[in-house]
Amino acid sequence: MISILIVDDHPVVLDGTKLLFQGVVDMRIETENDATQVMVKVREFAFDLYIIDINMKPLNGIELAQQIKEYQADARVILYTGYELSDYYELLLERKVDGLLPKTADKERVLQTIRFITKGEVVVSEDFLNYMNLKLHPSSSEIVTNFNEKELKIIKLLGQSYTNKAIAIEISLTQRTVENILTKIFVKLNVDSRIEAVMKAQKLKLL
Amino acid sequence: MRFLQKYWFWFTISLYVLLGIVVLLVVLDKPFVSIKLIENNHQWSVKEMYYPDWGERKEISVGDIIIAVDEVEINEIPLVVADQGIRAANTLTVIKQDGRTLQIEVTHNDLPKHFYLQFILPLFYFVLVFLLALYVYKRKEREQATVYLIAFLLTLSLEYVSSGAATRANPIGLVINGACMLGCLIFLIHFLKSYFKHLELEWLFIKQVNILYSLPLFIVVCDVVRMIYPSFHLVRSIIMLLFVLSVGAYILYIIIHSYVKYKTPQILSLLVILISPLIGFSFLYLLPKLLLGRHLLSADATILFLFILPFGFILMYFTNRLFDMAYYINRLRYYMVFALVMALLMTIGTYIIGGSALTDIQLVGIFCFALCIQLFGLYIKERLDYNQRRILFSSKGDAIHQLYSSINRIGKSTNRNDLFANIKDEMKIKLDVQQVDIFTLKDIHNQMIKKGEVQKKGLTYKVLLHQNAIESILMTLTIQQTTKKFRNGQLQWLELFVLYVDNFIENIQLVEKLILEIKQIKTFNENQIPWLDKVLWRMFEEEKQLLAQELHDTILQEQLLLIREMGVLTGETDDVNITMKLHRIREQLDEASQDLRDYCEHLSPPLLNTMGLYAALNKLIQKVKMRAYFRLDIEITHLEIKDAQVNLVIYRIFQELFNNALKHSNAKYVSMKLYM
Repeated sequence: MISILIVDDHPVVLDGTKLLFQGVVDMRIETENDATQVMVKVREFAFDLYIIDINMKPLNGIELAQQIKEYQADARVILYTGYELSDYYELLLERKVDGLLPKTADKERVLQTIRFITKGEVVVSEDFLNYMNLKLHPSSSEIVTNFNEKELKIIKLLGQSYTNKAIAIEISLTQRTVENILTKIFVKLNVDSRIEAVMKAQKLKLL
Repeated sequence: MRFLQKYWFWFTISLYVLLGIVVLLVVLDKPFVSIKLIENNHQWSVKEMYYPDWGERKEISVGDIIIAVDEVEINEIPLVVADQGIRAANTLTVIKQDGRTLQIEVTHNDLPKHFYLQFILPLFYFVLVFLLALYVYKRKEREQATVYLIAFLLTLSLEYVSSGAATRANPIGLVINGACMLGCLIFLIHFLKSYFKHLELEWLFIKQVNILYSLPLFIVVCDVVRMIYPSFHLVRSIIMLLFVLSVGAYILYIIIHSYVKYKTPQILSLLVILISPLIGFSFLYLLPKLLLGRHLLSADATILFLFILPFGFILMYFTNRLFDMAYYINRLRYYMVFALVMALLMTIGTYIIGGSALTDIQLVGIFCFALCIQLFGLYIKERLDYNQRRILFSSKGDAIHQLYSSINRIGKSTNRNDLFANIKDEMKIKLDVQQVDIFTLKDIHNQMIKKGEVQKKGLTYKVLLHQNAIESILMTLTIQQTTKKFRNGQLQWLELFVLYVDNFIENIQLVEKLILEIKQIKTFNENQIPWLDKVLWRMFEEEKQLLAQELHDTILQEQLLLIREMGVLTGETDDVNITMKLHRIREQLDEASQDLRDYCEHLSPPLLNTMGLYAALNKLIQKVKMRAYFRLDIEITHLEIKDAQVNLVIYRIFQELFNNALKHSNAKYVSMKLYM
């Protein structure tokens, strides 16, 4: 039996998250919507796993995780957020938390992550590798040149000084999708800005 | 040459001393008799004597035949033949008209006046200039102008000192006299040139002053020629006169022309100093002689004014050089004029009282003495006044020295009534008056009293404290029956005090006006707050409206679409279709929530509260790099700021700057730095 405490200052989200565990027999769920009350609960009962929302006030998820880990060294903590996950990869590396989950994750992903983490394994998404790569080789000259058709088109439009919005309209995608693809292109070209990307692309005769 | 440059001063000064001693010894050697002779059959008889009194005492009279001078047969002395007279001699051998032969000893004691004028005074002058030159040299004012000034003074002195020897037709004396007379003038021109440079005035006259030094050399050559051919004497004199007159006129032209052009006080004093010896000669000798038929001072005595030259120069040059202030020159001029007038009055008084018992020289001496004493006295008075002024003006009962405390007291008043009350108190305390009244008159045209004036009527004094376009403020003081009237010191105090009060009233009016203004600004500010609120409220409303519009146009529309789709789905029976459609709806919802997330991030950056400013800024920068076509150069220090407000402000500043750069800058390169 895995004992889990879910902390979120939005009761609606709490209920929604609790709903995910319906019919799961090996997990015992408890919830708390006041971050400042969590430590009181922890002192009463040490949970195996804590699922904590990052954006809470007055105590945010990261601070709360730290407090829990200080009190209970073997506690596993998963942070979950409605915002971009990659912003918090650093916390994983620093072992301040054990896992990260987006709030949009479905039942399967949530349960899977919980099971892996309680076993002491780490679950990450693919772009964590990009993050790691950049962290380990900030100026590596290795460039991946296998661009797909969409990426090549976007690179061409970059060369013509299109804005992201214009590119999105041009190739019938949302702006966010374009920016996601751009991020991938940047990683492949090993650059971190548009202007560098254009220069590299020129060098590689992609334009 | 370098040796000369280094020791030029000592070389010059030694030369000066040597030549001076030589010419002075010539004077000392033979007393000056100046007897004009007339030749008759190789016999030289006395025609006229410069010192008839002396001749009488020594039993020489007109018509006596002189057969030998200094035991030399008279016909063998070429100078006597050329001059038709005897200039100087120690002994004269005379045959009187009655046939007696006399051996006459000539000593300086017999001719004291002559001895003074040709030996003692020149010697005095000689030593004085020597000391002056040393003094100037020791001041280490090694400017070119100083060098020429020294040269001028020394040559002038030599010229004067050698005049005795020259009148004795001593060859060395003649050469020195002639060369120095021209030389000093040329040194003067040279001095003027460097002095103009020092004054930063343009020198509009002869550029190559060095050429002029050929003139004295030419005179020396003439002197040599004259020694060989005594008859050349006349030519030489004419040349000399011509040179001296033209150079002198040129100097005058330089100074007058420059003064007219530049109008500087320095040039005026130069002019005064240069002309003053001439003034002495013309006003004390020439003019009286022409107008009254009697000179006030003999021509010999007016030479004393020559003393003014060197000291005038030094005084002017150094006061100006050291302080460059009109103050010193003005003070000097003031004292000098005062002392001159007083000394002149004293001398005239002495002359009237003492009458003819006093010789010219004694009168000049009295004049000089009086002048010096006056100058010295004025100087001492100035020092004393400055050091002892508190004591000088604070004899018991004198109100003047209390002026300061009175002013200090009334200066503390901050409004009109306060000021008037303080003034009344001061009057009562300091002037011991019975009653003080201050009243304001609106009708200012009927005033019989002027500002600063004190009117007395019986026991009442009336003063005008202040007057402007609207009103005048008057004060009346009624003094005690026993006092009768104010003493001079008290009146002086009152007058000064009233002057200050006038200022204070003006200041108080200004202060009151300013206070009123400040009050107005304060109330104005209080009124401003609702206005500011309004602006802020409007800004918030505009923001809200914008946000509402955005949400309405994007997320709301998508949600409405999804609701409609789900409505359709409720009537759907095909399970596969339902699953597929639900999947699509989920995707769309995901998309919509992403949009919403972006809005939220924009409105309140979540990283700021969780990962901190540094992370939030880095994310912002990543976003900008993703969008911008400019090269971004960023330098951010990892700041640890506790205050969340400050973090937010910094973040907002960056956000705004990036927005501006993206939207408006059209930049190729953007650089931002953050450090503390």
